[in-house]
Amino acid sequence: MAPQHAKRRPAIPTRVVTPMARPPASVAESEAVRVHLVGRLLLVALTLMFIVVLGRVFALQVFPGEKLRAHVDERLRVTTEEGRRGDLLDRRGRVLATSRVGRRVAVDPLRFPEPYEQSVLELARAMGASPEKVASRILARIEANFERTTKGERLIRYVSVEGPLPEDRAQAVRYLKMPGVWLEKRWVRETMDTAVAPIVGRVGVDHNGLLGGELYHEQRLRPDDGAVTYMHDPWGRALWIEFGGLDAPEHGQDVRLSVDLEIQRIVMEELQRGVDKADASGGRVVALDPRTGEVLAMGDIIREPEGLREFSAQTASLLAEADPPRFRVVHDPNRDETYPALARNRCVEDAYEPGSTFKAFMWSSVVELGLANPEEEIETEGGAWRTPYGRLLRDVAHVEKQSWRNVLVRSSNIGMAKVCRRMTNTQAQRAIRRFGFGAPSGVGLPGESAGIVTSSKNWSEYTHTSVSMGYEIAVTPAQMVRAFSVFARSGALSGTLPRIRVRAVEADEIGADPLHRVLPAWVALLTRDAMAQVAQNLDTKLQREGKAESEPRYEMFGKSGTSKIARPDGKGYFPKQYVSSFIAGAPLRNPQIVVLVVIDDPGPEQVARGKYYGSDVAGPVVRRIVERALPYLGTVPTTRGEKNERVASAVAGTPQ
Amino acid sequence: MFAKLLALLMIGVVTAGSLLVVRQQRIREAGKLMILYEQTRSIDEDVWRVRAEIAARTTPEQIAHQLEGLGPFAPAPGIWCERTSEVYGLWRPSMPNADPPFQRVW
Repeated sequence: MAPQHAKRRPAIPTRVVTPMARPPASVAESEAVRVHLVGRLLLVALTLMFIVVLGRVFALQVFPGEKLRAHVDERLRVTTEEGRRGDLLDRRGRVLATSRVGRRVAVDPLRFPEPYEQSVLELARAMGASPEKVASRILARIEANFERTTKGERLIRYVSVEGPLPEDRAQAVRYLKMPGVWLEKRWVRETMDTAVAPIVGRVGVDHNGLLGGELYHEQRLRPDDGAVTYMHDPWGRALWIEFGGLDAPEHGQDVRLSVDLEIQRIVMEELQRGVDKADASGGRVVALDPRTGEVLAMGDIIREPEGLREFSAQTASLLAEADPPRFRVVHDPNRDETYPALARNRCVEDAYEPGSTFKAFMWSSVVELGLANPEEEIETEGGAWRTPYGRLLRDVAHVEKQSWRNVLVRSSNIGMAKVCRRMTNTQAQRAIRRFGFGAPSGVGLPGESAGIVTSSKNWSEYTHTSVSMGYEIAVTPAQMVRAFSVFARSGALSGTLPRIRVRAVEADEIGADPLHRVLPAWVALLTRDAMAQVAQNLDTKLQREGKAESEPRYEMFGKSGTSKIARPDGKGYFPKQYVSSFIAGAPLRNPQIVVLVVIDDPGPEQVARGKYYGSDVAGPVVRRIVERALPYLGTVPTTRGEKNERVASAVAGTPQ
Repeated sequence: MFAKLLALLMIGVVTAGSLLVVRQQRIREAGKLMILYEQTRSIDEDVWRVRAEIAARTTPEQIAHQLEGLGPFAPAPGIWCERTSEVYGLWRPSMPNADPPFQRVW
């Protein structure tokens, strides 16, 4: 039990520590309390100031005032990062056109150092340019500035002197460190081969496509420019790139064209030989892959033979003379050596009367319509015949009667005119148009001509006869090779018209085009077989005349054509001036190339010797091109067994 | 108390100094980055220029021109080359009394 006194013990009061209850302090203690209070106040004040400063910094950074923003923006610089335009490549990936950065010299006339003549000389030496040219650019502006100063006008501060410079020259200008002279970047588009320039086209000052492939494929070639936003110091040095300030440029995509530079070289070499040998005014060539419609090469040569006369109303009377002068028939006022792409592309822009090369199309249409069969005998009247409406027709071969097949092989005008009269006008027009004549081929090159097909309204009996011989119709070389591919395509494609193009076909595009059937396959093959005889005759002739360079390794099929050149005034033809052409496909069994060569206006000597026909001047060129291009394409030569087999079957009358 | 205040000030000074150093380093790195970026662009430009030069010097015309001075070429030995010789008309199995212009390796 607890003791009693413990219960009664008074409770000890607890000490309450309050300032009021604090016992009286000494002086030292009161001083310490004061310092403590001041310290706390100071700390609170500093903290508040720090918070205020932080707040202000935050406000300045995030919501700067108008004045401050102007200063901040001065330090921000946005530079455009230009993307590079894609390259144009040939079908094997060789570069046709590519972009590089060049340097152009620019001058501020106000800062250009005196003495001016001395500075101009130094600058011109570094640039490798003529001092006169540099002086004319700079000193003219300096003088202009003197005049402007007196008039109180704004002064010229920028003169572009010359460029783009080669890299070593640009470096030399850089080392000059001449005040008021600097180098500015400029995109340069390099085109590798001037022969393909009309296909490649060209770009403008702003590096956008203006012509040809450059324009046609602009969407894929064009880059998307980027930008860099960065802060710089007062001296212009970059400090840092702003967050999200780098927008990288996207370079343009490369585009593969269908042309092959090696085949282009081959066709241009051979065309030049052919044109020179024939003393012609010009020549055109197109090589096409009939399987895909890709243009492998396209070339155009214009030559300036001596003694050409300009045709005009005054000189037209000279045509009546016994020995008329040779008139200029190939015009190209736009041909510009500086910009070959601006040259007129006569393979798509200029139409010509195809002459006998057109007979193949009419011949096959007649066979398809069942109006004649290849073995039907046609009266060809010994080489001269007057039509029922009184027009005199002549043949080169004077034969009384020949098969419909031989009418094509021997290119009989009389035979063609007689049999084609079995077609109605509508049938003839339809036959022509379905081969693609009278409409642009769609090759995708600028300025393409649709050619000329006489309208139904103006179609006369005369027209009917003319067209059967390849007159009164105008076609472009591009249209011709496309149409001829109908005979050159094999298998299921035989008798169909390809889509002609200058862009290489990708693997997934092969066979994607809808079939545009023109003829049944058997008619196309029958026509091809007949034309094989034409090509064989050409080879025999070349061998006989000693013009064959070697034994032909590839069988081909083809057709020659010779037509007079129409006068510009529409009053008939020039008497002794011709367009001679030859079109062929090879190899015979599985054609991989179609080549058309057009020789414009063979020289007077050729004409006097009677050697101006298509088989004389254009045929050898086609043969040489085929012999050189097919090995390059890896095509196996036609074996002697295949040739013998074909000859045997031809004799047996079973066309292949 | 003074010591605490001094410590606070010192911390503030050190913090500010560190921030300045970091900022300076950042600026220097950003500057280097910009220089590298410019160098990359410059190298790209050189590559594009050289690419254009190579393309100009390797066109079929240029190659043919350069080969002209090197004399005639003979096919390399091998089965493939027999085919090539045939394609180019240099030799055919049917050619009488003619040795192939290559060495048979089979």
